[in-house]
Amino acid sequence: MPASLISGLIVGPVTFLAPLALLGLIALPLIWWLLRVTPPSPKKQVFPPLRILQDVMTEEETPDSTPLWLLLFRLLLVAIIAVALARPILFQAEGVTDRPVAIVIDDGWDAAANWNTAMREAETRIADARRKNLDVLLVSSYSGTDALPAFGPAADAMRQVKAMRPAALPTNHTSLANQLETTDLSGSDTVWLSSGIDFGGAATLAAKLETAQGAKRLTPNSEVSPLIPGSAEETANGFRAVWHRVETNSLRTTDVTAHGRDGAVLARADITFSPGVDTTEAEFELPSELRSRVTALRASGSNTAGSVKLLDDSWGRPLIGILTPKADTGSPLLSEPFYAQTALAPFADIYTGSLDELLPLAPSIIIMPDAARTSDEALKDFVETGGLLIRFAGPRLAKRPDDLLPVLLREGGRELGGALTWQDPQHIATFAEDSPFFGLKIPGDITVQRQVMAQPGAQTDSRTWARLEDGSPIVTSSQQGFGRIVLFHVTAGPEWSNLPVGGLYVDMLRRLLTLARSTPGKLQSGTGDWAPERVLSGYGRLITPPIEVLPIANDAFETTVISAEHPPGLYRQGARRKALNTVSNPDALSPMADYDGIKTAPYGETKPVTLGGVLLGLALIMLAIDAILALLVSGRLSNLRPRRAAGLASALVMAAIAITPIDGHAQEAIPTSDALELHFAYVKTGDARLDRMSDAAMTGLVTQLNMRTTIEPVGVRGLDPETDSLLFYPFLYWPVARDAPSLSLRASTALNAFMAGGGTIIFDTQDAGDQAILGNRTHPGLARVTASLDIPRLGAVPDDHVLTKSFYLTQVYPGRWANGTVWVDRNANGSARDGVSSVIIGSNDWAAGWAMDGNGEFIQSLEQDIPRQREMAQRFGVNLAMYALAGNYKSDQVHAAALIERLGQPEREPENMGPSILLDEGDEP
Amino acid sequence: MTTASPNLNLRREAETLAAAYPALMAEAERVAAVVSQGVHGRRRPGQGETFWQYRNYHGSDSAHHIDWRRSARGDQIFVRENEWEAANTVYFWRDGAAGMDWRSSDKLPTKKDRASILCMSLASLLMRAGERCAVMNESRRPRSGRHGLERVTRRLAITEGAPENLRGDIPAHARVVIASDFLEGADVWRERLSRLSARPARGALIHIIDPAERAFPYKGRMQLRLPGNLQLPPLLVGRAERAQAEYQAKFAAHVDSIAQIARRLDWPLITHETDKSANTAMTALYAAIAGANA
Repeated sequence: MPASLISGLIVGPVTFLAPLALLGLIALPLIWWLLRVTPPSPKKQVFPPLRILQDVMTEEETPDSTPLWLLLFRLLLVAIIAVALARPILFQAEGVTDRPVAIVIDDGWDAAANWNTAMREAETRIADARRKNLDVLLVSSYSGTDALPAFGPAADAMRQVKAMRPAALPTNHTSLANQLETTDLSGSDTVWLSSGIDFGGAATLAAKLETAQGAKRLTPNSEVSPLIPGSAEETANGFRAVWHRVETNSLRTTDVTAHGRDGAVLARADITFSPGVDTTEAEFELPSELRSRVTALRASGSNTAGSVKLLDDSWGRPLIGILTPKADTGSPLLSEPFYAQTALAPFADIYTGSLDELLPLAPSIIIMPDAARTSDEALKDFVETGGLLIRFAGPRLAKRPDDLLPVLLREGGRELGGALTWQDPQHIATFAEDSPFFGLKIPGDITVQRQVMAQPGAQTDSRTWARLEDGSPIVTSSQQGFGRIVLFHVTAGPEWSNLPVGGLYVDMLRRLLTLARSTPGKLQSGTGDWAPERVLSGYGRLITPPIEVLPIANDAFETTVISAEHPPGLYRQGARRKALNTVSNPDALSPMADYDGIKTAPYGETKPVTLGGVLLGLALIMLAIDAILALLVSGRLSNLRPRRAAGLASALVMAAIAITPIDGHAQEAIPTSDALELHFAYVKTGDARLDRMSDAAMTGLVTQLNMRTTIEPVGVRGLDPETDSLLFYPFLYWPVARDAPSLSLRASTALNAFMAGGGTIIFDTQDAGDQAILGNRTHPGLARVTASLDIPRLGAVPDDHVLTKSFYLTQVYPGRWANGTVWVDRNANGSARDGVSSVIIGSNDWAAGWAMDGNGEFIQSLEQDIPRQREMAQRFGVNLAMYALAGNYKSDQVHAAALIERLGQPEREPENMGPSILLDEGDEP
Repeated sequence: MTTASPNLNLRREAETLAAAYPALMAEAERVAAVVSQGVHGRRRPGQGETFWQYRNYHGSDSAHHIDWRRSARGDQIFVRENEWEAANTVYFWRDGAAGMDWRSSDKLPTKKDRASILCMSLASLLMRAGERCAVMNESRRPRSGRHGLERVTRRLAITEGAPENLRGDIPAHARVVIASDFLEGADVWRERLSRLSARPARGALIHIIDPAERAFPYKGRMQLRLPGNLQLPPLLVGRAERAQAEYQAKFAAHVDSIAQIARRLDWPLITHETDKSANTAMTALYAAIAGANA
């Protein structure tokens, strides 16, 4: 009895693990008594007219005690705590049995995802059997000993179960059935902790198990059913992997990760299986450099070897380098590499450049058009060490053959179908069987006008892959060292033949790609065994191979079926690496059916339910309620109310503030009268100091223009491009801080429309003075702001730009500083904008130069980089306004004197020449 | 400093309150018996220090009333008459019991503070009109003028307000202003006031009530006790809200009985609740005293 008290007390389906805690229930009467005698403490209050009150109630009505219902409530609370501390566990009657139990455990990779649940199930059942002193038989594919399984003490089985791990191999149900061949299962219960995946032998096992008195198969739900990778193939901007699943009952969404050699996640893609669907595709977008570094694909949330796809050397798009001539200035359609590049782009990653640039990329193929011909030693090395060189003929090769050729060439080319030739252009003959192009369909309209000719001979014949109809070789190839050279006897472009503009060209080049699937140096094949490098554990982790793993013979690798000697993993032969994947044919897997005589149930039903947590939670809630009840009984609940109401009210007020749209700014409508009177505008940055300066600068500029010119602006507007209309303003002055945020879609649309409609934006980074520190680094604010704007190509303001003469003649653009470069549209008479640059970008802090306060006094001091900087800043401002308003009008005026002279009129004094007088003003001393 | 500051605050408040009123001149009903001479003339010949008129000597005049200097200028004999000048003396008593120093909520002033403010305002008004004021049995003598106001208001602010002071020696026909919550019971106060009235003295009563005393807004289980020393054991009330109606009736009866005493004595009674503005009470007080003097 005491022993059973310590190990557990069983009351119906509930077991108490710490039954001694139930002694706490003895305390209940004590609590009853305490609660009865201790009334809730009264609220104390000083009350001067107590005498009057005393007349009203001379005696306390009754000695106030805890009300009965509260008493019961509290007793229940304490009882629940006492029971909870006794750690009650609820066993469902279903899992409880009184017969010996045979437990069959699927322990292949298929069970790994569900392993913890299965183990908990097994342990629960064994623990149950141990409590009832029943024998247990444990059968598994990979964890058992060689001895035939037999019923034994539950404690042994428990030890065995604790040591079990899933293998990286499929569960062998047939061998399980064989193990049980001689065992008599009648008179016992069998539980089959299945993985739900049938590798072909499940029915055999089921037939054996159903001989038991009670047979049951547990099956995992589809959420933990393993996801199985199928084929993976590269696409133009990434790759695509097919994923399968066996259990198709539910919708399942997860993601697939692509891992690099060190296990780092390089990419992630979502996959979704609709209910009833067993195949889906994961699309990865990954640049080619990263793509070739992918070594494994894994499905997240399915940690089993079956959900890992290992990728080996055959993975990766070939990297192709195209040699380009040094100065290839021709138009693209005429340049030779263009055709090869276009043809191969969908199937390979292509880099162009000189040999020095290409070789460090370790391309597997180098394409050398004639114009970029070179016989560099490095290129020879490339071919010798296993590279594939595809050459195209051309005038240079025709003139002087070199030694990187598959066949000997005759000097000079052969011209067909020209003005001075007899022969017609030749068609390409059908490809021979030993040619890699064999089977390609040859369109009839492919003709060759010129070609380089190979020296005839047996060697040439054997090295020819394609011929013209007259038998002359058009594609030849030969091994050189470990590598290979392929020569097209025509140009890469359409000069010599129309082959490059046809579909055949694409197909031929594709066939050539397969010749060089991997990086050079690994092309050489060996004959040695494939030694295991890293193998997969059942959970899908790459581990050091255990001692029993054996190498695989070279010629047997393709036919190897995974086994304990050859587990899935990466195998290595010299520098080459091959992957042996867990699942070679996902379509061969099927879900387990319902077998006769075996009940099917999901996992987790016999899980003991620990009630302690629930009860303690309940007790805590009751405790909270009790606090409120205590307040209620002592009459103090109302004290909470006003505060709570105030809290509620303040919360409501806060919420109201939060949801009230702050639209005061947005509704600040720009009056349409701006269309009638000229206003200058600046962009509000949100930085109050910057905005004040911009406002003052525009005010100053308006003042100066009114004083000096016939442009008479009336006012200044600060605008937010996101909300305000930009229609009426000739230009926007925009001081850009380094921390300026990027524009919203609305703002950038509005600003692009503004620029397209002829507006000019003047960006001022106001940091020319900091250039010494900042150097020529990108201005982060400006980069963000202009990222979504249509900024034309920019150039520094040329000396003859209209900006230099639109009113004053000036060559400086000073603000606070005078030496910052000013950038304008490089194309001075571009587009329909009347030659006005859509942006002017500078860093001179023009606002400082222009800014005036209300009294017409300048409010900023300038750096005095140049003499009379203030005046020059004003002049630049005037020029800028003139430029924005009048466009290139003034660019004609420089010729005014010449035009007047041409009209035959005597040249007049400058002061009578209208606008040109203004041109001279800038030259005043 | 710290002890003086609440007094200063009270005084400032009282002065502000008093500033809103025209100078109040307390009429003395019976002038002849008033011994002390005041400052304001009655536009009648009488006792005073300011010259009023010369008149011919009657036989009934005492010889020492003859103004010899004036008479020596001519043949007639003149008697010098001074203007009749009179001032009333008002005695204040502000209850200082522990129950007065209580308020039901932080937002209200204590009854004692409110009583002090009312008394000080009245004193300020009276002294501005030239009356003389004193705190009953605590001031050594009635005072007037700016300096007197300082002393009286200070005394009013710190007065213990012991009930014994009500027995203090005051001249007959003086005026008495009593501010209290009258919670010691109607009988006690009837006795006290009768004695004062028999002095004879006339006066006004200010009944200060905290709103909670009238409404009894308490609920639930309460332990109620008297402020100050524990002369009475705390009262445990199981459900305070049950006693509310009965208590309110009882309290109303108490207020009534105080009013009845005042009516019987023909003293004006101003009932003031501390959540009301002090100005309201001052208006009533003003009307009451002015009415009594009319």
